[in-house]
Amino acid sequence: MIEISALVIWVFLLGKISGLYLGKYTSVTLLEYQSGIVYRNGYPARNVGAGLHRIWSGREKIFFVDARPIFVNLSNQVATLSDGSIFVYDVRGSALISDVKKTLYSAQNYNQLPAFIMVCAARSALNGMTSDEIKVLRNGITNAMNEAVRIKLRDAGFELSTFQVAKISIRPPMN
Amino acid sequence: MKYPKRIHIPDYQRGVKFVGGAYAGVTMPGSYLTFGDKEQINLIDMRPYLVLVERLTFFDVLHAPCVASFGAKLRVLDPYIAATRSKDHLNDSIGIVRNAALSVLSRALIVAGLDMRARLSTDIKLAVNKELLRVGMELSEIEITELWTDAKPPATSVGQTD
Repeated sequence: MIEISALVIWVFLLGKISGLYLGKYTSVTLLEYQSGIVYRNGYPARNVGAGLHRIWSGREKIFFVDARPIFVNLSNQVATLSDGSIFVYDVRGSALISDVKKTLYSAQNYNQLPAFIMVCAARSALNGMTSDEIKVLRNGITNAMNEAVRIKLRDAGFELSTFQVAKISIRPPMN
Repeated sequence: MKYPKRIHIPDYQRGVKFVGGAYAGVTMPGSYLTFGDKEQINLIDMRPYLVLVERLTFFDVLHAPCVASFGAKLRVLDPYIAATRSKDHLNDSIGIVRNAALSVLSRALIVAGLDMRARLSTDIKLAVNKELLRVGMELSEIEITELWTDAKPPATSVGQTD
C-alpha cells in the first residue's frame, strides 16, 4: 500500500516537473470577435479564429487581436490651408481588421492606426488646398483623400469602412 | 523560492535579461524558463510606435511665423539601452522628437513646396535620431502633413542706392 502511494506521488511530481519544463496541453478560447495567431517558439505558425484551441504551452502561445470595428471620431481638428486660412473640421470614420498578421505587426498601438492615417491624410490634403477650393468642393473634400486613406489602411491590414471629413468653419489667415 | 516561470517572446519583441541584477544579454524570440529569484526578462516591443506631432508653431530663421505638423514612426534600435536608460522609453522619446524637430525647424528657412517638405523630413530625421540614440530609439517614415509660412516674397530693391 505504501509502495503504491509512493509511486502515485512520484508520478504526480514527475508530471508537475515535466509540465513545468516541457509544457503541457492547454486550451485557449477565442471569442467570435477575436482573431489570433499561434506562435511556436516565438514565430507565427498559423492563424486561428473564434473557438477552442489546444496549444502546447511549452513552446506555443496565442496572441490575438480584437477584430471589432475601430471607430474614429475626432472633433475640432485644425489645419492651415495653403492661403493661410485656418480650417476647422471633424474627422469621422471606421475601419475593420482584415489581415490579423499585418495588423499585429503594423504598430504597437495598432488600435490608433486608423485615426493616425485619417488625421495625417486629411491634414496633408487640406494643407495643399486654398479656402476657395474647399468652398467649391463642399462635401466632396472627403473624396479627395479617400483613396489615400484606403491604400494606407490596406497596407496595415485594415479595411476602410467609412471616412468623412466634415467642415466646421474657415477662419481668415493668421497675422 | 519562486517556481520557474515560462516566458514566450514573439518575433516582434526582444527580452532584456538580467541575472542577479546584472545585464546578461538580449534574448531572441522563443520560449524561455526564468527562475524568479535570480533571473528577470524585461520585454521590449520592437514594433513601430505611431507618433503624431501636431501644429508646431515657430519662427523660422527669418522670423516668419510658421506652422508644421508631421507623423512618424518610433522604433527601438537597441533593446538594452531602451530598457535601461529611461524609465519610459516611448514617452521620453516623444518629448525628444518634439524638441529636436522644433530646433531644426526654427533654424531653417521655410518656403512652401514639396521639395521643402522632403528636405525638412531628412533634416528632422537626422537631428532627432542623433538625440534618440541616447535612449536606444530611432525615428523613421516622417511625413510632413502640414507646412505653412507667413513669409512674404522678397521685395525688389528698386531705386536703392549705396
